[in-house]
Amino acid sequence: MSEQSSSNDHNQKGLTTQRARGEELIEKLYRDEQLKGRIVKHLMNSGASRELAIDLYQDAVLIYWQKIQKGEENEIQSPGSYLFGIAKFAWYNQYRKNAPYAVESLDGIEEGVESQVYEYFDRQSKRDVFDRVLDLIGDRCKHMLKAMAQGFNNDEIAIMTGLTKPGVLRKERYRCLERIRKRIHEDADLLHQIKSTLFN
Amino acid sequence: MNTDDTFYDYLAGRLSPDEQKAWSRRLAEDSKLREEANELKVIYDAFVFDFEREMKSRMKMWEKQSAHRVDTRLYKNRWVWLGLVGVFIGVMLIFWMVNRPTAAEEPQWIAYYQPTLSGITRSVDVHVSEAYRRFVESTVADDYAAIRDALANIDDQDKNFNTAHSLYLDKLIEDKKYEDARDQAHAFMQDASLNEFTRSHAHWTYALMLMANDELDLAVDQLNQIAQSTESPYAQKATKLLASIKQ
Repeated sequence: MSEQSSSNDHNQKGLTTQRARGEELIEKLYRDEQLKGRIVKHLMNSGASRELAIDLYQDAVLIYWQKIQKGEENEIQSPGSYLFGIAKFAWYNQYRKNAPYAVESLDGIEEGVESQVYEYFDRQSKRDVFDRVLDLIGDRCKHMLKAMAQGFNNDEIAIMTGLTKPGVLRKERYRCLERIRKRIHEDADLLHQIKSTLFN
Repeated sequence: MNTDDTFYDYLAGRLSPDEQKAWSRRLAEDSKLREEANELKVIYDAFVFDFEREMKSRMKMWEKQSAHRVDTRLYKNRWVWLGLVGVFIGVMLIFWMVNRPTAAEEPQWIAYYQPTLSGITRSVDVHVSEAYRRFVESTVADDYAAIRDALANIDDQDKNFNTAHSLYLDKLIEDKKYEDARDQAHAFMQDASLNEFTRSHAHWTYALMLMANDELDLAVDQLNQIAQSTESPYAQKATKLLASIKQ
């Protein structure tokens, strides 16, 4: 019992350290006051309120982070410009898409920004479905799948979850996902909502 | 279900373009796998969304902390600025105390009187003495007794001493008191306390007033004196006047 407790402590410590790695990039980006100030000022000059400009900057940081998680950092020539492009595109497409001069103002935005922004806001629009899916998941599985979604590799997730024996993590991941799928299929309403909203 | 790691990389969008193509082909061919992938994509995206939501909430918290820090800094800066303003006001006060006009220079009265007949432009200083102020007020009020009294009381060190005498002559002319103007001009011509210019002005006025009182011979004598004087500013005028009298 005591051995198990010690192992959990170790895992928790490891988890904290590892989680910090996933969040470190976001915090670093967000706390770049110079970059944030420049982007927020630009959005405010374009007509956004200060609150909305900050909100968009936060979205831009998360979109940028997703890009990094996908291993596409090599496609980014300048992180500052890329982030600037995301914020600018998000502003014009989410709030000013009907403005007649919106397209003209989007010159110089790096390639790939558009799809990233659409993907992010598409995900945000499915909040209700995601919340229902997340409610189906137990803590243990949630822990492991969340780490996976944050972009940690198998070795890191194994340390976080304590599933360090070869093959155990894969099996556990499989079991978790199967269990969730089973629960989704048991909930006809949720299954219908997923199919109608996500795959139309 | 697939336990292959590349399947999870596919869900995370972390496959290379070639791997992505291969998986897309497999999904297109296998409807069961496609359905499974779609459902798993929803689950995966739910976690991505959850993490994004958590991080956004954390960013909002950082923002609040940062705003608080900025406020604190502004609060401190406000006192710095207030202090600077206080120092500036203090410096300005000291500067004013050191450089303020002395009692003698302080403007006490504003007097304005412009003679219209003499043709000589004079300005009346706004910083005037009490005696000169009374002189100007009496002049405007046409109170000759008060004018004479005030004129007698203007100190010869007063910067408007000479101006007042010239103005008095102009006032007499303006009011067509030609005899008085003649006598007064004659008296001023010999007054050593007046400066050269004012005495010249008195000479010129005296000559004009002799003419005004039909004392032409005396007037011509006076005009000749003025015309021959190298000092008088009225020499040219006197020469011209003499020429027209001869005609």
